[in-house]
Amino acid sequence: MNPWPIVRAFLVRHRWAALAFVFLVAAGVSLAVALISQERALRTGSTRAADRFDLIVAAPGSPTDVLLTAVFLRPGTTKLLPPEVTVRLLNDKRAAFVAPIGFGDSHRGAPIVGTTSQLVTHLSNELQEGRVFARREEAVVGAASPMKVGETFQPTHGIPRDGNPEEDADPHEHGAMITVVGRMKPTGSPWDSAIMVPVELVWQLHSLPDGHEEGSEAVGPPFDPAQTPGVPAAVVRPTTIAAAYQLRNAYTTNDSMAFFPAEALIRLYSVMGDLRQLMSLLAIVTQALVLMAIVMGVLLLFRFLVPQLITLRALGAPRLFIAAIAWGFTATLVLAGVLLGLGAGYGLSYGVSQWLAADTGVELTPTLASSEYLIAASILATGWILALLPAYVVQRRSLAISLAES
Amino acid sequence: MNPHDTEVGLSVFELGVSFCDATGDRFNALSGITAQFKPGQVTAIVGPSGSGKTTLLHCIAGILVPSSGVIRHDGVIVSSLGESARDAWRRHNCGMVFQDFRLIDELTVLENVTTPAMFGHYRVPPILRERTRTLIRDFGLPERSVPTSRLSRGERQRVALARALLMDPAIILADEPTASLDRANAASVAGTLEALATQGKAVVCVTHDDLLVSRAHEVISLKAGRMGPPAVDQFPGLRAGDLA
Repeated sequence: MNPWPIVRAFLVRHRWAALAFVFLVAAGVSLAVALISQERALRTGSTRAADRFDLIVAAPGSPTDVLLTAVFLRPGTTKLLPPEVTVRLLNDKRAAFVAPIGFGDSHRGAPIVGTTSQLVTHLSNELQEGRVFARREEAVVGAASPMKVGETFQPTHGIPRDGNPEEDADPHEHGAMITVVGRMKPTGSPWDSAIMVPVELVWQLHSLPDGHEEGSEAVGPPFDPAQTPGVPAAVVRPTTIAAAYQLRNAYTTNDSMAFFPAEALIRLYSVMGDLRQLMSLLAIVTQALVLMAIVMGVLLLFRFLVPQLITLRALGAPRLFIAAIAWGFTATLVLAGVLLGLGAGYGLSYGVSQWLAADTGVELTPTLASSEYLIAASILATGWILALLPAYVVQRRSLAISLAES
Repeated sequence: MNPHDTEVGLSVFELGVSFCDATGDRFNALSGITAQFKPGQVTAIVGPSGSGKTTLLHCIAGILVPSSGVIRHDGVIVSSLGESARDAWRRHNCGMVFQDFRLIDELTVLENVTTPAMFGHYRVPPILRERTRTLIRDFGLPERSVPTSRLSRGERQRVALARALLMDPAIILADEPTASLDRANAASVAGTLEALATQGKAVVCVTHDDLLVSRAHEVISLKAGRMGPPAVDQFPGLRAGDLA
């Protein structure tokens, strides 16, 4: 048997109602798909962004706050690591390098991060262009920075919040004139838009001891213990895995905390995962209700199609043919809605990723994976099973009574 | 002769149909109907509204199972078949034509005519495809891609007739086939039904149309579910000898 020409005819006849049903299903599917896809994009993007930060040491507090500030360069207030702990850390032999991080300035909305050339080289895995800074008035920019090598600028005191360069910034320029001498390779992290300068410059601009003997213009380690201030955070590259754990233990004290970024991210993912599961469950329940409403709607629509169905029966169509028409009609609506929802879900996730990437600097690449296809397939299967209801109801009508009524 | 004794053609014997009314009382819609619908003849079923004409037609088509009596076609006792078997019997032996055509407007002429073939085949077999083209040509119907909603009433009834003939049924059952047509189109349909009878088909029409009655070889007159003589003055073309 071939009920499809009849199904197509009925879909054309009730095209506006059919379109409304398709959009209802698509809306539910796209929300569920976008939610899962976006959560994964956030997870992979943030993992990639934090991948090269082996161990972070900071003053005791929230690892998440420090992670957001030190790795994701989000504006925030963090306590300073005491100078004596900073000095001990900077000279710890279990670390291949320790890069202090200093914040506080910006240029045209881009944060200026004070650190060491070792961290710049480590994050970039060699530079895309130019060289690392060798003097205090030199800078390396991230891959996405609009600044060019050779360009000069004056740093502005203050860090922009929420993309507004003026907000929370005390917009006076420091006197220093800085020259861009290099550009990093893309890292997929907010560091792509940042400007990296020697940490000594940040200390100097904020009237702090600059880590070296008075009058020295040196940059980078070794730092003078007597001239080293406290820092908001330090990125530590341990020599070995064992050393990583030893350092983590050694600096988890009353005066400091040490953590692997993955630890803080896992806590974040756990919250995000719980939220995703809850939202997914809500989406599925909502979708089931939508599908039930559609099935009821189809039953109502088929009341208008009774004369045609009765005619088909009178022409000799078996009950199964009538059931196939009703099932095919509903199943087509659900299939179209699910396919449209998958596409729209990806589009929604892509749009949100673009927006979030522009806001956070974390490169987000949304994809559709098996979990999204699974949820779409589940909705499709549920819809196709529910489609049996109108099929059953429609084929049960008595031919003689229906003919008499029509 | 008991018309039911013959094995050839369609016949009904002592047919009765009873229903329950709204109060639960039974009433006879048809009672004691015995008739033979011979191949090569047009039989008109006439009578006032509510006399049981359409009920009789539905019984003949196997749509309605009679409460008593027997319907036989070419040796098959149709009235004792199960529903699926009656559907199959109707699909292969009966061509149905309705007063209001009952086409599916969104389908093309070709698709409407091939509808009965869709019940048993995913793809219309070449022989039925060829027969469809022949029917469309013979009935002077427009291009096959035209939706039936764009056709005139006369053309739409011709599409319905072509659909009824697709499976080359031995029996044509028509319920008021000319009632919604103008005189010219009604005459055309009446001529077609007469021609189908000439080709050896048993044509059974429920009708109020004197034109169609005048073309009938046999007339069955129903009154309150029973057979009886028709009111001759209602059908000026009717000959007394035509009465079954």
